[in-house]
Amino acid sequence: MNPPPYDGIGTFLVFLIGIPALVIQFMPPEVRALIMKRWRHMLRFALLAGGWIVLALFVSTIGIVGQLNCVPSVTEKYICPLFFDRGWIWEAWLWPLVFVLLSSITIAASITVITQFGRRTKLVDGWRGQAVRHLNKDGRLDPKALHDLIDLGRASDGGLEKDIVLQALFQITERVYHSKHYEGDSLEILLEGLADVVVTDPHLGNSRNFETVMDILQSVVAEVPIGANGPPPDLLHAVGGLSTIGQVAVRHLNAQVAAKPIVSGYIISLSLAAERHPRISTSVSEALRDLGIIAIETGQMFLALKAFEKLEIRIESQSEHSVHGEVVHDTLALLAHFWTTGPTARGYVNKQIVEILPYLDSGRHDALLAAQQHAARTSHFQTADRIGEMAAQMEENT
Amino acid sequence: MKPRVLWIEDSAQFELSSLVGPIYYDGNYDLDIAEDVTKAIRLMSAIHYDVLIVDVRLPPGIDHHWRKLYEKAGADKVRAHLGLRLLGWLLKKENNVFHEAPPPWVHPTRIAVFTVESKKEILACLDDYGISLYQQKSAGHEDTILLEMIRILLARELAGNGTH
Repeated sequence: MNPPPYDGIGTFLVFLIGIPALVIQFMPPEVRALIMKRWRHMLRFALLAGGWIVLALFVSTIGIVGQLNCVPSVTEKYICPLFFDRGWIWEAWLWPLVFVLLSSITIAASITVITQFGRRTKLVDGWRGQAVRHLNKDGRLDPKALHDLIDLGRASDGGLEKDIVLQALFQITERVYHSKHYEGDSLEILLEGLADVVVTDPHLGNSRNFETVMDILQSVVAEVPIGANGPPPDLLHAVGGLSTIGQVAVRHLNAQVAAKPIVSGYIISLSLAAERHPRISTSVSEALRDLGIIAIETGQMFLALKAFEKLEIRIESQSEHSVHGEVVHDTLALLAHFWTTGPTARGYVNKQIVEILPYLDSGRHDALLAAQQHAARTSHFQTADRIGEMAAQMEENT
Repeated sequence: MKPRVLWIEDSAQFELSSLVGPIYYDGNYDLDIAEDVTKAIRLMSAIHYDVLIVDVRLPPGIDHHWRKLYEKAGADKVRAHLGLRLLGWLLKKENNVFHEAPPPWVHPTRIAVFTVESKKEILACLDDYGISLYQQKSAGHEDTILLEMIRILLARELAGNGTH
C-alpha cells in the first residue's frame, strides 16, 4: 500500500488558506479598514474562510485515516478477494473522490469569499440590510451599520464607488418613509453623513454624486411627514444638507456642464422645504442667499437668478402681513451682490426692487438700512458694504 | 402669487438653456425644472403647479417602477415615450402605469407638450388626453418660445378655454 498523498493534500490546503489572504490583500484599503474595525465583520470573515478550511481538513483526514486503517480491512474482506488487489482499489477510488471533494471546496471557497468580501456592492448591500433590520420594530436605523456605510462612502473615490454607497443610503431613506413608525426623526445620522460622503477631501464627489445626494435630500423634503408641532428634525437636517452641500456644488461643479441642473435641484428643494413648513423660511432664505452670492461670484448668473426668484417667492408667500425680518434682509443682500456686477444687473435690481417693495413693511431706504445692519451683525461684512453701496447709489439716482 | 410652472425636460438646462433665461428675467413666473420622471412626480406631489410643460422623451430617474418601464422599452427614451406615459398617468388615461394617485389639480388645459416628435406622431395621444398646446422643438426657434407657451396656457386658463 502506498502512503497517502500528503503533497497533494498540502497543496490544496495551502491554496485554500491563500484565498482569504489574497482577498484581503486585494481589498480596497477603505473596505479592509472597515472590516478590521468591527469584530462582527472580522468574525464573519474568519468563519466563512475558516469554515471551508476546516471542511477541507475534515475531508483530507477521512482520506488519510481511511487509507491507513479502515478501508483496507473492508476491501480485504469484501471486495479485494473477489476482484482487485486491495491497495489498488483504494487508490483507484478513494483519492480521486477526496480530490474531487477538495477541488469543489476550493472552488466554493473562492466564490463565496470573493463574492461576500471582495465585492464592494455585496458589502454595501449587507450593511444596508443591517441598517434597516429594526425599522419595522421601532422605526430606528442601526447606527453602527449607518456609520460603516458613511465611513466607506467618505473613503471611497468620487464617482461610481461613492455612488454605490449613496444609492444604498437612498434606498434606506425610502425604506424609512414606508415604515409605519416613521415620524420625521429617524434620519439624522444619514443626513448629516451625506456631507461627509460627498464633500470630504481628498475624495470629493463628482457631479453624479452631487446629483444623487440632491435626490436623497429632495426626497426627504418631499416625503417627511409634517405634524402639528414644529418642523420635523429630518426636515431641518435636510435643509442643512442642501445648504452646505449646495454651496460646495456651486463652486465645485462650476466648470462642468451638469452644474446647472444639479444646483437648480438644490435651490428648488430648499424652496420646497420652506413651503412644507414655513417656520424654516429663515434657514431656507439664508441658504438661498449664500447659494446666490456664490453663484454670482463664480459667474453663474442663471443660478443666482433662480435663487433670487425663490427668495422672492418666500416674500410673496408671507405677504398676508407686511414682511420684515431675515427673508427680506437676505433678498436685499442678494440683490446688492447683483448690483455690483454691472449696469445690466443694476437694471434688473431696480426692476425687482419695485416688485418686492409693496410687500415690505417699510420703505426702500429703511429696508436697505436694516438689511445692512443685519449683514454686519452676522459677520457678512462684504455683503453689508455692498448693501450700503447700493443704497447710496440708489439715493443718488433718485 | 406668481403662477407656478414645471418644465419636465431632460435637456432643459443644456441645449435648451437659452429658453429659461427670458423667463427668469421676465420675473413673472416661478419656474421649476425636473430632468426626469421621478423628480417631476416628487415635485408635483408637493407643489400645485399652474402650468406643466412636458417633453415626450424623458429618462425615468431613480424610481424603480419607471426604470422598469424604461428598461422594458430597451432603455431607449425614443421608444419608451415616458413623457406620454407620465401624461397618461397624470390625466388618468392609462391605468396601471404608476401605483400612486396623480395630483388632483392636473388638468389638460394646464399642459403643453414641447417635444422633438412631430405632431403627426403623437396627435392621437394628444387628442385622447385633451392636451391643448403642442410645440415642436426645432433649431432656430425664438428664445422666448417657452415664455410664450406659458403665457398662452395661462391666458386660456383665465379664459376658461382649453381648445386646440
